Amino acid sequence: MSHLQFADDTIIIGDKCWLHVCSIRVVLLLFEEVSGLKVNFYKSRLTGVNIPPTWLSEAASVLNCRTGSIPFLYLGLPIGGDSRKLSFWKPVVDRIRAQLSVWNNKFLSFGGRLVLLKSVMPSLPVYFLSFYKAPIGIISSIESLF
Amino acid sequence: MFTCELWWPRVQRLGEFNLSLLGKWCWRLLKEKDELWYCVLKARYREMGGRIKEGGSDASLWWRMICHVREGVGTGAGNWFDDNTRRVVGNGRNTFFWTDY
Repeated sequence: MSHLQFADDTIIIGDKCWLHVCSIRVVLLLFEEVSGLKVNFYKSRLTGVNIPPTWLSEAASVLNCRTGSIPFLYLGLPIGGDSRKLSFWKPVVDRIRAQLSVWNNKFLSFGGRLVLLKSVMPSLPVYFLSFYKAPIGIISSIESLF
Repeated sequence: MFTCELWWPRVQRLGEFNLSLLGKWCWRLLKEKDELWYCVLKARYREMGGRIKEGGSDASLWWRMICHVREGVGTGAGNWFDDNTRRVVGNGRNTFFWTDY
């Protein structure tokens, strides 16, 4: 078994066997006892790679968490997604669009809105763009939003 | 009346912006050879002449993409990354005579 841990996100990786499921449970419970911190099992997900869903949901009920699916979010980035697909970029475009529609209602001067746009908007997709190459269609649709 | 396109300046060129952010990974591939993430890539795809190999079709999408950026595939600007990076030969320990340029 292995794990990845950064900031407030942790991935525990193991094989498909009951021993690993049980040891994940035990380790997390021991962690609670030792540190006094509570693990929120409801916010945790059990995701399988080539594992039958029935086995997965059984294991999830043992771990008292829910089943997840690929792509899942780790540190805000979708893991295992296909960055060439349009659906991969939908959250980014939606976030920019939502932000823009909020700003439209505010009584800003034209200059003020421009400054806001120029300083804030480009930084919204930066995190995604620094990891994945956006398809041309997505780039032009984000540019047309600005 | 003026139209939107006329007075609304383009905020930035997003495509080039994207490429330059990904180019940072190529830079880090050269600079951070002792870091864990480099060692993981090295173990997965193997190193040859100081560069991590591209791997076959089973390579991860992300790694293939970084390799494309490194080799300048599909940018229309040639190999912009290698053209604009310079290597200084120090004691020669990590310099490869044939493959480095």
